[in-house]
Amino acid sequence: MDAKITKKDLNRVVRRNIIFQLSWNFERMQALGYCYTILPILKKLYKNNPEGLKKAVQRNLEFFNTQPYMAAPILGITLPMEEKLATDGTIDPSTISAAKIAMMGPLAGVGDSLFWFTIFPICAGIGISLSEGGNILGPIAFLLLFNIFNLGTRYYGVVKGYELGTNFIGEITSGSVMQRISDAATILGLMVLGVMTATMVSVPLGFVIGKGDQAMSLQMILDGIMPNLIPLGITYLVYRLIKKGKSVTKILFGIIILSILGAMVGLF
Amino acid sequence: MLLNAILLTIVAWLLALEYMNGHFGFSRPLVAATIVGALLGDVKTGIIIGSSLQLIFMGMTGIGAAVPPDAVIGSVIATAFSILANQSVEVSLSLAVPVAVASQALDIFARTATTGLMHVADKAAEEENYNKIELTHYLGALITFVRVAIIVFPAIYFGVEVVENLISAIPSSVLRGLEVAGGILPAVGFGMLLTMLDVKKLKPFYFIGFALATFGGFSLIGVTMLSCCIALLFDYFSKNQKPSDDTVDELDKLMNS
Repeated sequence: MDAKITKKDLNRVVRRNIIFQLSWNFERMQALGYCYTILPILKKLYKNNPEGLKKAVQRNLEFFNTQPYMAAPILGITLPMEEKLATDGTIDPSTISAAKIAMMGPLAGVGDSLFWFTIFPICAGIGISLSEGGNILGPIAFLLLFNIFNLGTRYYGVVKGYELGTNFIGEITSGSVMQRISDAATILGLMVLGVMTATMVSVPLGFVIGKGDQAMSLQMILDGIMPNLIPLGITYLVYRLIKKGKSVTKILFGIIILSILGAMVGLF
Repeated sequence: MLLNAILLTIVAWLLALEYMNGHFGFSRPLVAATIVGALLGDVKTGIIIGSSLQLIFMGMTGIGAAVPPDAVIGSVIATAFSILANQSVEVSLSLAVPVAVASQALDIFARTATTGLMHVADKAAEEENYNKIELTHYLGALITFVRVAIIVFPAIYFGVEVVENLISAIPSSVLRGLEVAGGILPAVGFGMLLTMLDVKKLKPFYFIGFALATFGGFSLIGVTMLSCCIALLFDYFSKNQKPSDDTVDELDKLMNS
């Protein structure tokens, strides 16, 4: 199979990346956007392999979330891996997933502080100061300044990320080295996942036991045992249920219904 | 008024889409208010309101899973009221914040509803219908339209009080429940990822990450740094491990049961 990712394909990824968050949702966040963005490339790579394409698409519908601009380098770096998997199958599919997870968390942190807390306030500040008295120069200056960084990151993120990924993947040929990389990526991915479980899943219990001075909130009692016990428990439970073959849709509606019922009886 | 209501609904929709996608800055209060001002024939007021709103909403940006007060809808409404109803800038600004909060409540609804699209996409992947996956992604824009239209159209056509009454008609426990569900739902995504990284011998690293964040107060970047070191050490030790005898002892049996 000679399907290769060309410059044209990468430009397409940059363009599709612009509507990355159209289907953002609480469950898997940017997952559908990620799949949508690389779908043309997957179709090209698996032209003669419908079963492989199906697997690749399903794999790329998994949870994904990062700072929107930072998705660009992650897309760029993982595309050579997808390319390698499709052409000779010497890379483990779970290595690609692990690499995505390992990158999305830290890059989200870097992206948030760089773009939202540094570049954006500076550009907006310049815009506000120029717009005094209703001067149109203010909004225009803001747009121009900010988009140098926005479009720059989006374009060079994908293109340079792809180069970086290709150089790295190109060096590796033997299966045993691939296994070691897979293990390392999985360690990174799992640890990042552990942090995200602790910081991004929240169950605000408002239930109070007892009255007056003796009142203790359920949250306090549980925190005494272990903070974040409930987020960890729920995440692990979901993992067990999925592994047992329960449908994700059912789990999802279960959570929404239980949350509303919980709110009605005053649990939250 | 009807024409203005329709026009502003569409503009607010496009700006809301831009706020989630592209992030070119058109939906930021400074620019959004300028655009609304230009459409209603008073650019100057738009820019003045925009720069004040920009300061108010400066710190409120979407980070991670949190849904911030909707500055986009707030800006559109505030500017429209200032120009159409001849309100003072101060009154318009004070209108912007409650509308932004009401719009945020609806946004939680919308983002929960969008979860359904995810499952349509799953089914499409199962059927190998890839055009349907793309279509599902585009449908997100429709959900955004409904969410924006519910607030902006009646607010311009009937007045802001109508919108506030509409929002308060939803039982607070349902809103609260959805908000709570929004906080729990990432667990579904993480649970699915755990099944992808299901390597038994490496499972402890998930709990190490969790413990570092929970008890050590480590940030994601801090844990990433540590996990890189751990991964390198793990690789070193597993490479230099002497091949042990193959017998499975009682402990191994217990652990694998």
